Amino acid sequence: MRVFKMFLKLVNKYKGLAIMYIGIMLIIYSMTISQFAKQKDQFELYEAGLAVIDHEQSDFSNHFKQFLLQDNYEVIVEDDRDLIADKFYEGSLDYLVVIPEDFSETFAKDPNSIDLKTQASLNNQISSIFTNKINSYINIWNQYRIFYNHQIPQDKIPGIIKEIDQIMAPSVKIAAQSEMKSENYKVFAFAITQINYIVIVLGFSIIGLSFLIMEDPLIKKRELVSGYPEGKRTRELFAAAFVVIIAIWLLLIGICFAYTSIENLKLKAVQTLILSSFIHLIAVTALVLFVSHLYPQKNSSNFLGNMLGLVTSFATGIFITRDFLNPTLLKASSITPTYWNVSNSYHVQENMLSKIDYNYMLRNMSVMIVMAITFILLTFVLRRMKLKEGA
Amino acid sequence: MLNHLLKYYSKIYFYNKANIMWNFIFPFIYITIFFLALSGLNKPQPEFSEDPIRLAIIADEQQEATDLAGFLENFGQEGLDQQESGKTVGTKQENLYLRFTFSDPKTAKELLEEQKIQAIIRADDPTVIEEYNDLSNLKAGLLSQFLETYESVRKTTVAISERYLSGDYEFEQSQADLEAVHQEAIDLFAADSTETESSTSSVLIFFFSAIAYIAFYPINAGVSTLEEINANQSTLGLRNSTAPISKTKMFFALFVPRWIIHCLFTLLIYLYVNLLGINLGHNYLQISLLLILCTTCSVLIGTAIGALFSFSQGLKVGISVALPLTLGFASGMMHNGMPRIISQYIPWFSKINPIGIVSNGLYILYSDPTLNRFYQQIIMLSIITFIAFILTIIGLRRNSYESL
Repeated sequence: MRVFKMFLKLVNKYKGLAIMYIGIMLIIYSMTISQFAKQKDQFELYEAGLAVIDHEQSDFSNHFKQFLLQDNYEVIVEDDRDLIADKFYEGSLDYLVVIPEDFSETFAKDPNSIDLKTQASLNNQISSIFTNKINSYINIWNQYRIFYNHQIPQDKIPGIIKEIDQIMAPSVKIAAQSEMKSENYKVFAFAITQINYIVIVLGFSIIGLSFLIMEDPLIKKRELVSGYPEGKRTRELFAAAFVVIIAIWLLLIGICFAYTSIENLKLKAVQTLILSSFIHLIAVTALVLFVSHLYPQKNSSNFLGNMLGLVTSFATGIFITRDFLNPTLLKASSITPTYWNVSNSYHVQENMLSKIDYNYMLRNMSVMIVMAITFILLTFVLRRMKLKEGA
Repeated sequence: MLNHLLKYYSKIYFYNKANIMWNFIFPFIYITIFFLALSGLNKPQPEFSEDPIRLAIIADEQQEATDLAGFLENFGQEGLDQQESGKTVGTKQENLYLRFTFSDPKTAKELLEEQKIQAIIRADDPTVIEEYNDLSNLKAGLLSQFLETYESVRKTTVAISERYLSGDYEFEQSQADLEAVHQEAIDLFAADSTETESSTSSVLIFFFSAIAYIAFYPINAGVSTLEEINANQSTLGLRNSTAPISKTKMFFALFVPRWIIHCLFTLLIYLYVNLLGINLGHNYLQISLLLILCTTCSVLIGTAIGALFSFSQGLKVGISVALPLTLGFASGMMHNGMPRIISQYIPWFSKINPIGIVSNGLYILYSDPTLNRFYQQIIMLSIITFIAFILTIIGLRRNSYESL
């Protein structure tokens, strides 16, 4: 167990680097999950920063404001062009609505001529969500306006507001929720996808680096000369590399449950996702070991992890939804184990529990297993070749 | 002597294969992958025309199904494929988000099993998404939005009918007249609905931070500069420190070539981004200035790290990779909602994040007609750069060795 212990000591020696990377990755991971987990239901699109400047201050305008603020958070800003622009540029404001003084009056005369000033950030998705929201709201009030011959009596407004609250309350039911109550497992599926990126970066930065140091000719020769068998040394090195990466992975899975719910563990879909993530971990570690033999540059392992992590994450749909990904790029990314693991996660996110195709997920896992075996075999071949060269 | 050193270290820098690989090839690969990955964000609508949400509508009462279908025709067509949908007219192809068919529960389930549809919708009170299959988050969100809008229209009709039936009205008109007037829809944004340049903006938000990340990437050039000067950091540093050249001169001899090379390279990346067809705006001079300042800031932060801390080489390399990554993440390179969260909870961090400043600067140049805010970003970045420079000088001067 000497080599095994030495590997762990080496990781411990580089604990500054390891702690820094793990810390950064945990922050990235936690912030990403918490942002996603805020979207309480699966079928919700975005929580935006909204400022509503109400110049009328009537029941009608106040209700309009409250309606717009539902599921979004309020940004307080004065009606000053520069201050508003500052909020947009500092990224705290996504959408602004300025309700004019004559809002109710103009609405009664001609709703189409309401001078509602709006301003949106560059994110056109947010802009279109609010456009639809505002139009829906005004159209519903317009039905009452027509009903009351263009002038809604003041005493009717409180009653109408109550009705509109009911009308605008979400009412579409998703049958799956009656069985499951929540679709929290989809948040878990999203969270476990983010582990892929972290595993690649940490794999190269910690495991790859430690492995390369252990494989330094001076250290290796010293151990071999002292009579330590090469086969045993290799086994212990590999075992240590896997133990360290599994320990990191367990920590990440723990955080995943902390942000979702441990109840998820009872679901077969979640259990399968964990298994898939574990197989991905093994395949990525095998890839790290293979690349470390192919390109044994100690100083490059951080860069390599960074590059492969980012490129793989963008290409396989970890950072950007696959709906928008270039199909050719997505297809090309299938040469990485990450593609298959992310596919499993997408499958769970896109299906009801009863519709999850476990054969599809198993097939994806089999591809990852084949990749892992291939990488390990190639690593052994490379080791054998290098050993012969050395002899 | 300085000229000789400048030429010499420029050549040395280019002879280093690892430099070429990580500092020059990686940014190109990254921007290319980034561009390919995001190219679909430019025009998401045609993607829906090719692959719309496919639905089967089931209902106990035919009227419910007809009402729902009538509403959904605003966003799609009846018929699951092109030929079948020929019978429906009036829906513009560019508004095709979904295709639907009427079905009974048993057939609908079969269609779902065969993956010919992605969801079964029961037209009822309320509307129910009975089952779904292979429905992406984006499609699920859109479908939900369409159905919620339908629900609100239906609930409004019911509410107003109840008022009508209870006699809560002050003028006489027939129900038919009322229904006719109720069909008039209001669109407060009709004038803005024409396509504008901002339709590509989702991509730009990602690109601003990605380019800022690449401009800030060469921190390691600064870190390695100090490694080659300080006698206690590398054998090269030990050799250089014995040369009869002052530390400051040696610093500039090493720093200037790297700085110039990386600034030129950043401009090359900017040119490449333009060649890819990403329009970051027409303020070419200001954009170039911002990117060059970012690279300067990055290299000087690297020298400050190298000068102030005597970490191991591995840890310094780790920091020089991890720092841009963290700052890039906080600027929205990986998730575009992140800058808002950072400015909400850690506002001071978003103000001193160089990648965030550059990303914001690019955003301002793209959308703000005045340059006042842009100059604020330039001033902030200049302050950070200056502080990094001062720290480097302090770090350089304070080193003395008892023995080497």
